[in-house]
Formats: sequence, C-alpha cells, structure tokens
Amino acid sequence: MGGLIAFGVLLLIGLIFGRMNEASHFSRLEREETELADIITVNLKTVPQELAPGAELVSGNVVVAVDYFKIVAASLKMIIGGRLRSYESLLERARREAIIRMKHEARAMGANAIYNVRLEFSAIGSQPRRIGGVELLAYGTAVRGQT
Amino acid sequence: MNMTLTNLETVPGRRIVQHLGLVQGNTVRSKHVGRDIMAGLKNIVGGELKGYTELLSDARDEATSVWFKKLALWALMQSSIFVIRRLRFPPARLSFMFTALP
Repeated sequence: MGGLIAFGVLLLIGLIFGRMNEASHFSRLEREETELADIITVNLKTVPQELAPGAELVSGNVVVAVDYFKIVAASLKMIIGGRLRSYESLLERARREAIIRMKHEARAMGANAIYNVRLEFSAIGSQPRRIGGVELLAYGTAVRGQT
Repeated sequence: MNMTLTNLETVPGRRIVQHLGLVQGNTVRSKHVGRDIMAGLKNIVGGELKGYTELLSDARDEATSVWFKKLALWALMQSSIFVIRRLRFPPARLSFMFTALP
C-alpha cells in the first residue's frame, strides 16, 4: 500500500513539474531561436571562397533528464508499441537547446554562419536498460561572411 | 602559434600544404557522488542535468587539449598554421563516468 502511494505521489510530481518544466523550456527555446535566427546553420562541408578568412569550431551540448511521468508513460506505451511521444518531446528540447548554445558561442566570436553542423546523441543513465536522460551535442565551424 | 580547429574540408583563406597524420586524445572523467544522487532526484521532475552537461563538455575540452599538447611538439618545429579536422565525438558510457574520444 505504501509503495502504491509513493508511486502515485512520484507520478503526480512528475506530471506537474515535468509539464511545467517542458512548457517553460519550449517558450524559452522559441524566444531564443527568433533572437538567433540571423546565424545561418548549414551542413555543407565546404565554404564559399568569398568568405572572410578565419574559422573556428563551435559546439553546444545539453543533458536533459526524463521525468517520472514520462518513464511510466513510455513503459506503458512499449507494451502496445508505436510512437513514444513523451520521449519525442524530450529529444526535441535537447536538440533545439544544443543548437541554440552552439549559436550563442558563434555569436560571441562575431560569426554569422555555421558550416558542417553535426549532431551527436547519447543516452545517459546508470543502468543500461533505463534511460535517465539524453545528451545532445551540436558542433560545427563558425565563419564570418563578408557582409 | 596559430592553431585553428575546424571540421570543414577546406578553411577559408588557407591552403593545406602538408598532411601530418592523425592525432587522437581521450579522457575519462566523473562527477562526485553528490551530483549522481542529485541527478537521480532530478529524474522525478525532469529538466536539465547541469552537472552532466558540464561533465561532458569538460571531458571534450580535455580530450581536445590532449591533442594540442601532441601538436605543440610539431608546432615548435614548423611554426605554421595547423588545421585540425575533428572527426567525431562519441561519448562512451561507463556507469556515471564518461569518456570523450574525438
């Protein structure tokens, strides 16, 4: 009985705080993305000749944890299979955050474009079968245009 | 010594004159147990694990600086510009320790 109550409390805390965290994170992502929209990110490996000399590697990484509600929702969904929407939003948050951090680094050095942008993903957790969080790393080469 | 780190095929305004060979660097780091406990608690409410974000980026910086030490030797002999193409950064996981292998 005690275990069941603890489970219910954790689930509720996860649901409330997880939702709040996610909503505020998404609105911040939206705001920062519009702020940094002038920095172009492309996955081309070669740069046009007319670019100003000088290039520097920039990167941004983030580790986002799953909440208790997401863990339970995902493990229930795994019984019937299909899209795990609770983990999809987690990955989206991590990806967008990593790109924003990379862009901040590029802006700090006065760059206006990032070439050859790559994303690396890894799952983080103490046990191999339980995901505690995801890490997203975005990296690329920041360059200055002539404008 | 002017060293440029890039993952481009070419570098604007520069020309590659010599291929020196592959350099590698790796490191294994971990955070203290307090951080691991806090991360476990964070798994209830969700959100960013700042300690691990820091850990992983420190590990990458450290692995990169291991390259630089190796390159410094060449730099003394050549006093030229080095262009390094970073290959990939897959972090391997050993429980709560992380390795970065660029």
